[in-house]
Amino acid sequence: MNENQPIATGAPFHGEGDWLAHYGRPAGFDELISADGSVRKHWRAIMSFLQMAGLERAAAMSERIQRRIAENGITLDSFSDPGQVEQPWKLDLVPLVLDQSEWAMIERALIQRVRLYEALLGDLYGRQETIDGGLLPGALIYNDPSFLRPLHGIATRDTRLMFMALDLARDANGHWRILDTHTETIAGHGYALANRVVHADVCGRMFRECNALRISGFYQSVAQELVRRTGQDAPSIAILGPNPDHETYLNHAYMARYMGYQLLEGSDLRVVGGKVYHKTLAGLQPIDLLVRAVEAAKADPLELRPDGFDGPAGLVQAVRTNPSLIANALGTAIVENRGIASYIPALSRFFLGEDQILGDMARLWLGDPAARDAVLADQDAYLLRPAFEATARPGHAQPGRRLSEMAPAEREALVAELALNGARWVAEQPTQFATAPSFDGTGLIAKPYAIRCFVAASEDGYTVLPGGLALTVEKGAAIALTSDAAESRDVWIATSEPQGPHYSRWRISEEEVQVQRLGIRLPSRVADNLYWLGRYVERADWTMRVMRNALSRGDEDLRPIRRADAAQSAIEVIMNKGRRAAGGTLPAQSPGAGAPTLEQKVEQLFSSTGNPYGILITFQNIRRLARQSRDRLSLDSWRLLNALTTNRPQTSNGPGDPAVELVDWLDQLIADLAAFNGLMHENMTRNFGWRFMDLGRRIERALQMAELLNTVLGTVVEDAEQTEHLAFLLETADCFITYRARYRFAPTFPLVLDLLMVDETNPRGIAFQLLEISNHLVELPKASLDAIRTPEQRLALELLTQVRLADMDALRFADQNGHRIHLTAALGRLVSGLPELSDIISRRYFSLTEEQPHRVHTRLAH
Amino acid sequence: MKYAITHTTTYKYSFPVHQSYHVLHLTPAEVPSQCILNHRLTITPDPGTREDRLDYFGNPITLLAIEEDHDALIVSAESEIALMGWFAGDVNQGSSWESVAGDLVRRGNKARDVQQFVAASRHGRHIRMLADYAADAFPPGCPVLKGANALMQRIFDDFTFDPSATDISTPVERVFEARRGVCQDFAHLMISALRSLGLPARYVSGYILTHPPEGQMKLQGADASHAWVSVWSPEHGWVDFDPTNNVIPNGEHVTIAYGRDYDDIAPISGVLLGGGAHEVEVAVDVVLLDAG
Repeated sequence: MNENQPIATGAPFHGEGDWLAHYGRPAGFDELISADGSVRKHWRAIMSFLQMAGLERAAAMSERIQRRIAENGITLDSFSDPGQVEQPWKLDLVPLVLDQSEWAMIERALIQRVRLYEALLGDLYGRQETIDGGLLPGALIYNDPSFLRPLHGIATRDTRLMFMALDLARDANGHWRILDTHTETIAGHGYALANRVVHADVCGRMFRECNALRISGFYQSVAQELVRRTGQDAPSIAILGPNPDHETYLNHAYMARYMGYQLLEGSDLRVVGGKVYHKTLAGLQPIDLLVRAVEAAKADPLELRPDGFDGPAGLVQAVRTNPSLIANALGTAIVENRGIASYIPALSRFFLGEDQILGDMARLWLGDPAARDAVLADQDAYLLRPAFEATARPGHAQPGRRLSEMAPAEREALVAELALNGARWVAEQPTQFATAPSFDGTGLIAKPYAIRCFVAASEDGYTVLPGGLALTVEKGAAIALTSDAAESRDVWIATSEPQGPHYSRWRISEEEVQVQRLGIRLPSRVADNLYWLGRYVERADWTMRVMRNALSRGDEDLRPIRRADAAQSAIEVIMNKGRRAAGGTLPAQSPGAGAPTLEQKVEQLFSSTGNPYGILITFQNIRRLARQSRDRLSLDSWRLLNALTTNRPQTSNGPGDPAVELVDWLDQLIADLAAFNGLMHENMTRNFGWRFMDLGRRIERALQMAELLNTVLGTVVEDAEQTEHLAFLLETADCFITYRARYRFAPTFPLVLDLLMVDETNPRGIAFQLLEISNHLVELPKASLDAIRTPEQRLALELLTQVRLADMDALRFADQNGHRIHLTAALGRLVSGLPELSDIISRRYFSLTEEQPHRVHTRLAH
Repeated sequence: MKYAITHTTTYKYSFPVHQSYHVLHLTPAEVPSQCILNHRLTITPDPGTREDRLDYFGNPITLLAIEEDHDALIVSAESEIALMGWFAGDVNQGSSWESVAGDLVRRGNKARDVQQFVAASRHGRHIRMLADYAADAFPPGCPVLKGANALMQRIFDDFTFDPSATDISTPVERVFEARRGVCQDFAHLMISALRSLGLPARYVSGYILTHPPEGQMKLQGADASHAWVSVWSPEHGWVDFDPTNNVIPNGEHVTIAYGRDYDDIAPISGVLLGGGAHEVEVAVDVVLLDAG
């Protein structure tokens, strides 16, 4: 088969007709089909693979890809409100394949461009000859808020640009053009990595048959270069990311996990004496290098934007001490300004003495009055866009708008804005994009696309990621990587030879190895999150068991109805806690005639949006914390928690009993949580992260049990009823079988209380929790090594001792009103002492995270 | 003219501050019209880290970090300054404002020194209604300084000094609508109006000699820091205008620093860890030592 052999789309080529039946003949340049109608050579391996696989298997693979993406929680949106639906990320089964020789040209162009930007940054943050010399208008730079004056004049050791991404597109004639530049953060890498990993998991064979280049070498080079920049053998490198609500958080979390770096937030860091430290359980630990994933203008509230707390106060000063501290350097976003495009040819000749291999999309900067006049004269020809947009979220660039399509009032306002603030705008001529194949379930169709390419500094210059992120763009109007639907494709560079095997980027020489077991560098914030994750998972589990037990009535002849009293009280305990926590805003009883039934109360506890102890809110908390601890949880455990949802599946066959359906659903959720706990127990190393999570779980479980025992057993009831109450307690605590195995008779007060409160071998009993808590507290980083115990150790010991010394006769004793006053006192101490213990632990280990900086000013009074 | 100036700022915190960082613009800059004879900046408690250098605009700047618990911070600046000259030209002469505004899109040698003060900053943005407000002061062909003088007069006539009307974050649009504010509000307003016409204008922070009412003693500590505006013309370079007092400074204004707006050169700004609520007390004394 040679390059020139024409293959008509209708004619069979290994059954290709099926695949291309809907493809049509795109008007402009198409990646798959050349002008003469034949399939391009570098696509043939993919086409053969698809034909061999057949449409049906391809559709199955495509679905599996989508499922993987959903399971891994990859979405375009970050985690905003957990209640909100996240916009799914789509990955096409068919990658965008580029030919190796063409790619070589693109690589050269990308490296040439990053060299140019590096030189321009050096000038803008130095002598500013480009402005004095008239190569760049001052208004273009000085109006852009991403030009950071405090960074001016800081001498650098390494390149300011460690990372750069360029959005490229082919115009309809097949010529590559640069659309946009990203020099602020590492946005996009996470998605490119996720795409490659998911695609390779599902159809690795397709990749191998294409002989496509691997991307792991690129990240290996990045890791080496970052280490080199620190000048240390085993440096502490972290990614400085935004808070988890930020739109690009997911990207950074993925990158952090792949690279094996901690993902830190501004509040995790502190600058002392011009150096950056990380607040950990063990105190402040030095940081050698930060990979920046936050907007630079918000990275230091002291010298940069006063409202920006994404980095620690004093960060700029720390950069003056060590200019290689942050990659990319602060202030690099200025070269993202789209207005620079018109001046690129002159700048390239000035700095490099070269013409640019790839030009930019035709673009006018409207700070120039002549350009402004041209746009006003031909209002239909140009799309107007902001010159600086500062979004690196893939596909999120704003589409441009024509003056001619605006309503008169809007147009008038924009024309006035251009006269006043033209420097903030650019005008671009819309271009027809080239198309590439996309799999739509029934075959291939042609869709316009653009790609994001990634460059990184390396020890001996720059290196280009052999791949990238392709997104479908909106036809016609688009001039940027704009894609609301987030239809993405992996980018493959096809070669003619099989690629060598994959080497993990974890190959390191043996002398670098240092055993670290405890995870003492755990950030305080992460410890805090894991502690609360443990508490909420336990709370959800407990609450659902109570609910399930309250609803179960499948075997009514075995469970007399009197047990409903105990269930009623147990549910009330949780609802009352919710009321107190919500500040009494929850109605004591649901409105409507009469008191709600037990079923209604359970339903309310399940789906109430106002009860902080309800299942809905508890699950929201679990999901939030799981996301924030995402880089600490294994993929399996993350998937389990991510899949936890309060959306009950619709039962298909007719109207069933809602209570029975809820019980089924609770069974499912309890099993899911048990699976999560099992994974944690089996897979998580016994480091501090695990200890804090387990502490949270133990404290919550002991507290719930103490409250329930107090409620159900605090008052004497007649014997038959008491037996039922005790049975309810045993079932809720999942101890019925244990009890039956030990005692062959009906539950009695002392034996049940012994099992649930005093027995140190019962993993669901209070004593067991207190013992585990004490054991954890001895192992924590700030535990006392000598005989004098820390406050939390003392309190835990007091609570444990009280339980150990319990006198069953005293606990049983009831006063003349039938109140078991000693039992209530003992359990009451636990109910007040456990939250106290929780507070002490928080203050001691997590308090660094609560202490947030704030700004002060003086105002002139004259 | 020789002045002795003391400027003491005292912060008191309701809880100990564990760590504080401050940026100070309290050391007077060497500008052509003044000579710094003596200057001393004292900080209590003694900062663990202190760095003195020049900022982007060439003003002296001091960065402090105090790493130990403290419940008060006292910053005291003492300066002795000789004023050596002030604007003595004729504002009614010189280039038209249009030529200055239109000239700045692309400009050669040292253009940046002027261009960066046409660009928008947080408190000195390009605002349509301020361009309209300034238009009366700048009829076609009007010399740039003559227009600036008329604009200053206009602001002085239209606006009322009222410290209760605004705070540090009041946007210039609100100042404009309320027609009230303090010196920095008027300076920001005038700067925004000038830049909205495409003219270079910068913010000046400093001190002004105050005169007690006839027959009364001057109260100690009753002076204050002050802020005004500087406008650029091709013939005279930067010329100061004080819209709060409707005066072209003539020997009673001492400059500390200039920048795009208050944010660039706030006398003291800081970030604290801990501290709870804070109280601040500022005492400024400007004493004329020698009128010669």
